[in-house]
Amino acid sequence: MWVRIRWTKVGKIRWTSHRDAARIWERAMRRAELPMVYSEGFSPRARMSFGLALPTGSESLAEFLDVDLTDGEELDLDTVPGRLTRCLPFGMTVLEAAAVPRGAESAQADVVACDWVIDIDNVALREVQLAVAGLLAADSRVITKRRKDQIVTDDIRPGVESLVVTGLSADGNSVLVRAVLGTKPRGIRPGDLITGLFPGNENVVERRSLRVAQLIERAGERHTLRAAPHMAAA
Amino acid sequence: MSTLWPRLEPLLAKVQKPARYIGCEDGSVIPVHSPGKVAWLLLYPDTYEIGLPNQGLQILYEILNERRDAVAERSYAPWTDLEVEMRRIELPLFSVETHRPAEDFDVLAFNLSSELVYTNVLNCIDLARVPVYAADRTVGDPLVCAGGHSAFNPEPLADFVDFFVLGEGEEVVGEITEVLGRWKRAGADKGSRHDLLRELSHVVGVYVPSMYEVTYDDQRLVSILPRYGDVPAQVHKRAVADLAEWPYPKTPLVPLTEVVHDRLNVEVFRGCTRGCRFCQAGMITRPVRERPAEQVRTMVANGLKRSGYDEVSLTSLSTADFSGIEQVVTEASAAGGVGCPSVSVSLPSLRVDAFTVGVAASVSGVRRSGLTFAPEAGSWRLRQVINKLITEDDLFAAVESAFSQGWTRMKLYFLIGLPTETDADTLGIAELARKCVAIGRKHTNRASITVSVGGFVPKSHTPFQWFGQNTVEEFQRKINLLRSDLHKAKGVQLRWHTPTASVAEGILSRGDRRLGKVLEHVWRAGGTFQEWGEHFNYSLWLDAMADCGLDVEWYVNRHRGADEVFAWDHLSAGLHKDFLWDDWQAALAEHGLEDCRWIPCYDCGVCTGYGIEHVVASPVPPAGGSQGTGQGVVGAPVPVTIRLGSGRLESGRLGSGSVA
Repeated sequence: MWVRIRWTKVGKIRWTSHRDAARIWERAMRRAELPMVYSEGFSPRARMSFGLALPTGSESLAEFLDVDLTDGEELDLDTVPGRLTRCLPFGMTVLEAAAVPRGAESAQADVVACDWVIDIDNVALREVQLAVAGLLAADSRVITKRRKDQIVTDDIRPGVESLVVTGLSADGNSVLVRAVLGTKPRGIRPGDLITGLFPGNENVVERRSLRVAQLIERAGERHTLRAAPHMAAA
Repeated sequence: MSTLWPRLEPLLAKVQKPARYIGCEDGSVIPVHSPGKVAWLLLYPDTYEIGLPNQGLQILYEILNERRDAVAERSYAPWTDLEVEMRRIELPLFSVETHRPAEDFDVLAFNLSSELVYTNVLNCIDLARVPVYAADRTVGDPLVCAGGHSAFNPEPLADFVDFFVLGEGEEVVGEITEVLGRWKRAGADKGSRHDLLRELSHVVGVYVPSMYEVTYDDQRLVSILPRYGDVPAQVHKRAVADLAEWPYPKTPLVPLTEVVHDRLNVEVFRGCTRGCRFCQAGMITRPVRERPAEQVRTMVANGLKRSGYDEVSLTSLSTADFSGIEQVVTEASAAGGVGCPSVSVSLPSLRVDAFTVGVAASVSGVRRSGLTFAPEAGSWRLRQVINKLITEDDLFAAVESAFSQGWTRMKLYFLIGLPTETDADTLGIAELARKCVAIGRKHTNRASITVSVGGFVPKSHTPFQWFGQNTVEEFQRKINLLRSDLHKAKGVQLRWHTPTASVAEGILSRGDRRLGKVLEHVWRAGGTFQEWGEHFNYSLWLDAMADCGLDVEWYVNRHRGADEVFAWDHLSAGLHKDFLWDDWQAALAEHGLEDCRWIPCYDCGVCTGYGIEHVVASPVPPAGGSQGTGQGVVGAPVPVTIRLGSGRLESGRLGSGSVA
């Protein structure tokens, strides 16, 4: 039985990578003694499938993974969040666990956009407001970035579905924006957005970023992805 | 006293692998510091990936944090990218638990696993904002100490480290804490640093270099003598008598990010008495003390449950020698709980003559880990010289066992540049490799042998400490000989350690205090992380030696004679220097010496000197192979010289079960 789990990654743990998180999860599943289904063959592995990767350094309230647990056990899904959270590092918490209906899309494939709060450092509120207005008014905005050892270019404008300046951060030292960034064909990261807003200015950096939600589309309408389809809300 | 985290965090976005610096590992402790507690910063002078799994550091971390009079946190060498940022904003070295500045600790305690990390030690002291030279430190600065295998010849670091600890730290770390605690609590009445260090020199196992006077006669070292009557003329190592009393680590550190040896590690025994003459680790960690099998069982089961690992490594210097190893491995494979149907067990350090089909079958289990054997020398003659008494048949039997149990690849380690080596010995390596592949091909087409060759570096406290190391050119010539001989060999890969790195290690391995300036030069020229291929720079070492007026050839390649005064003669691992000299002569005469767990004692000095003894569950050697005798059956006499209780030297013959 496939179970979808929604989990957080908040605080210092944000500095671990997506691959690190996968290893942490394997160990947490064993510590929690959840009855996992293992693959056949010489090197049995637990069957787990991760949702969209979170960039190293970003935080999130909406991370997903699907895990195959054995049927027939009296497994109370309501106890799963607690059992797992106890076995995870500080800052990783399981919020929901629900059975995935047969034939449902994988968490990764289904998502079309992500809702972000992005905290921008070393720039004044007014400049951010101007930059945001400028980006939204443009038809395209091409940035260059390094991928592995190559320089690539990318037009981020189509991926910026909405972008609003919400004000100053709690300590007043940086500026918050709320952005919905598309994930197809290729996801726009918060860092890419900042590069697109302030091209050529390397002083303006991401102080923090928080993925608030992942969004799916059903019959032309946007919904927040949750562990169980019935939990999804517009 | 406050945390450096708010200043550190903005830098993490700019560096590789930021998870190295955040702590938060399962098993880590957030200690409560207080003026009454001695605060230790345990430092591994290499990257987090290399340092985190170090068992010695984890054991001391737990022992100190269990004490009421101490707290311990950890630190690792920041990678070059973070170091640049740290220096730019003047952010000092920090602990990974609370991100407290290193200078706020009472002791900075370094683990010295090998010589090429020494420049990292200097760099970490500097990053901690502590004066690099010990003589420049004042009462407000932390003490700098160092332990680990390289501490048995610590002289190149003598100007930078306040005190060294020889041997095993479990007990001595508490004794040092008590001395430091009393000094701290004395407040305004506390003595000077010098007084404190002098008092520390009274703790058995602690070596304080500033309490000794070194004299030279031109190039030659004449003596290293204590300045005061209450400072010991010879410092002896510490060794725990019974490993069962130290079931550590109880809460192993589970990293959040990738590290080497990323599995549960359980130490099954300490020490090794096979007596391989090139091996410093074996020589300085005698005698053998096994952990009771029941305790191994519990530590494996509890460790797997706690950590969620599904791989366990049973560690020691020669794990297949552990009494009842097959049983232990079988039980460990089944020790995973409900959540873990199969556990992969790996045995690093496998003796070829103890690796039987039975052991192979129990290890292969469900998931196969890598297999490495270390014949070390390419000919039986040379193996007798180095006292690694395994025959060709032993090697082939082990390889056959492995291939027959399903392995398709394995590694063979060899040393080049061993004493009395000829080209025939070197080419013997290639011959063995080809024969092993041929054995493999009977079982699988994919049979593959990787031969890994390293340049031999003579070490202190071994019978080979008198031997002049090969030059870079000699190492290179031998590597080229092997390359051309193995050029067309199917199924054999050849790898080799950079010869210049072996020579740099050789400068420090038997070096004296004069090398301190060389270390400083290399460090200031940017020579950190010299253990890393991408950073090792031989010309830094050559330039530094030249600038300091020191001769590489004299330190590295020169053969020493019986009258040589070594820079470590005042430090003892318990071995009589006479025993080592006699064993050196026996080596040159191609005579082997068997393992004293299973033959009568030949009085190397350790057990009699320290009043400890082997703790071994089995009175007979593990089944299989020639059992370290190199003979078909135990019993053929091997000539050896034995020191009798009265101090007379007698020649005798072993194999009859009695000392002549």
